[in-house]
Amino acid sequence: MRLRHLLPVTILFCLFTVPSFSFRETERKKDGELVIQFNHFFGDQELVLDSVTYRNSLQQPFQITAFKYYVSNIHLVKTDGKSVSVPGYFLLNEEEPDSRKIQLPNLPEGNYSRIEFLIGVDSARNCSGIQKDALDPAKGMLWAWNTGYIFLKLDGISPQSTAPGHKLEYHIGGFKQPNNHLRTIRLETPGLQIHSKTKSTLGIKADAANLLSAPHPIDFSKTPMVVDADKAAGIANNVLHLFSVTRIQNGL
Amino acid sequence: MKNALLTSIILILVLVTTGFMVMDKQNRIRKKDLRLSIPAGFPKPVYDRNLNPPTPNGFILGRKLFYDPILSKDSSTSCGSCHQRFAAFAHIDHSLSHGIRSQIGNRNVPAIQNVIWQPHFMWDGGVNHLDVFPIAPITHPKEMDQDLPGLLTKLQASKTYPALFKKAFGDGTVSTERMLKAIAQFTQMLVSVNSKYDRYVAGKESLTGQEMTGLILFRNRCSSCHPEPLFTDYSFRNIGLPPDTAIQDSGRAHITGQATDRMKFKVPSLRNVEMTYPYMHDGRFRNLQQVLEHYGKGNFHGPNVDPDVKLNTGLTRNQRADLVAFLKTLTDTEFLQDRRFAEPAGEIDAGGK
Repeated sequence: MRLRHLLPVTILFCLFTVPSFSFRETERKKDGELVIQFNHFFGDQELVLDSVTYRNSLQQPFQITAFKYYVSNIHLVKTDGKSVSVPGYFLLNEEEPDSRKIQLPNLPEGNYSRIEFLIGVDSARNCSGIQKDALDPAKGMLWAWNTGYIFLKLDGISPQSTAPGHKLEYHIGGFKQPNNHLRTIRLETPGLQIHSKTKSTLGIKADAANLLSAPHPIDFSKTPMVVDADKAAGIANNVLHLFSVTRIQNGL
Repeated sequence: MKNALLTSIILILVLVTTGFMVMDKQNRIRKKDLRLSIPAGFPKPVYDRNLNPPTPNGFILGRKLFYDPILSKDSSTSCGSCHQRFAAFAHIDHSLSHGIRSQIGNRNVPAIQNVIWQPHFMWDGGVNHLDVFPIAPITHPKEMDQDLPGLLTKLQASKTYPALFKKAFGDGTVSTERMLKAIAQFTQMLVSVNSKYDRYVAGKESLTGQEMTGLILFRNRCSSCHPEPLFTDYSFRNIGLPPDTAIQDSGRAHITGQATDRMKFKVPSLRNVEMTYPYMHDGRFRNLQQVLEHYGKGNFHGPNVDPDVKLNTGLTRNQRADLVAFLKTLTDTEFLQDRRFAEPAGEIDAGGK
């Protein structure tokens, strides 16, 4: 092999490598941080586990004993239409306040008009064998007998429940047709800006009351439990109404 | 007198040492023991071994976990309690699985063999990956009834496991991922490809006249569901068995929620079928004769019976005998007696490189 044969390869190498290096350099300089703070509510009150009695839309009393869900496939869409995707799977748990704060330290500077995320775990990850961290099956969010993650779990107790122990269990999962219950949440974020080396905050409210009301009101005496993907079609669509943006604070 | 005592002590020492040496040799796993040689004609495995390549220490940890009753809630039952090596890791003579506290399950214990080709697991195909499979029997209330956080705590607190996890994974932290990857390093090695049939296909051995007649009959009548070389197409089919009203098992419909999948069950591989009795998802047939009589009589129950099942009707007594003779050539004695897969004796360690 002669030297002149190496020339085209070298040129190609430079063409691809040099710009990507400089691009990364400038991107990093202009990166800022976004904190997405999820706050759990029931109607207009902050959610409290166990001790507070709530009423569903049919006025049936109940207490909530657990509320947790996966957030994944986060996309932030800029006003110019460009989208930034954020890797990672986050398990947000009412019992663990730290879990409800998602920190994204390396977001490109710019104006962002929308956030999109999946409630649940995408089908590829559901089929890839054993996972760790937030997806560790020991977190109790994996169905073992019909492999698949539980995307969202709301447990409780109601005198109206006809299940053993008057329990309520709403476990929404299922990534295969015809029971694909993955739902993408799209929220407008008017005025959200990321500035380099500063921290912006996006507050998102999750209203557990909406999970049990429109468009599919849950009657505790008829449906105290949803623990199969093929029974979750109605309540899965309520997930689309769970979330709203409550606060946008830009770093300066 | 003094001499006699000394001789006895020496003799005992020698015997004990030899015992340990023999035990150690039986348990030892070298890198070369984890190589797979798959004959020509087999498809590409669906399990990606590169994502969880077996190492001697990982395999040894997985094997120990497989045979350790610590995996059950009351530490009474191991995976190996129901999956017996000499039965191709099925459970001989138990029609339904036996769990802790003498509970009887709903289904027949299936064999564990050639799982690297298996696209799904369980009679209903509900589990989609070899790695996550063990969570189902470990946590099932009628089987081992052990929650995962509790199991991780037990393993971390044990005298032996942190050291074994360290050898296999670099540090002594016990995690779900490491535990299941270790078990899958063991189960992925359970490959049965050296039966008399395989040696016949490779041109190394010939079949008897009756076995040959059986093979030809098999290819005409059975191979649409049980194709060579794995002897299953991994589909779900309704073979017209009347449902057992005490169990109320809907089969594949349990997973899909589709009424048309009722009473469909996974087509099992017929490798080592001689040793995996009783048969069917609920173990209702004690022997191969009863299985072939079910097909031969053509008295199929209910809607959605698979059309291919009817290929078998009208088998004569001689034909059934020929088929059984052929099916017995699928017994892989080398696999059934493989020392690598045996329950380890005493404390163990990886030997050599």
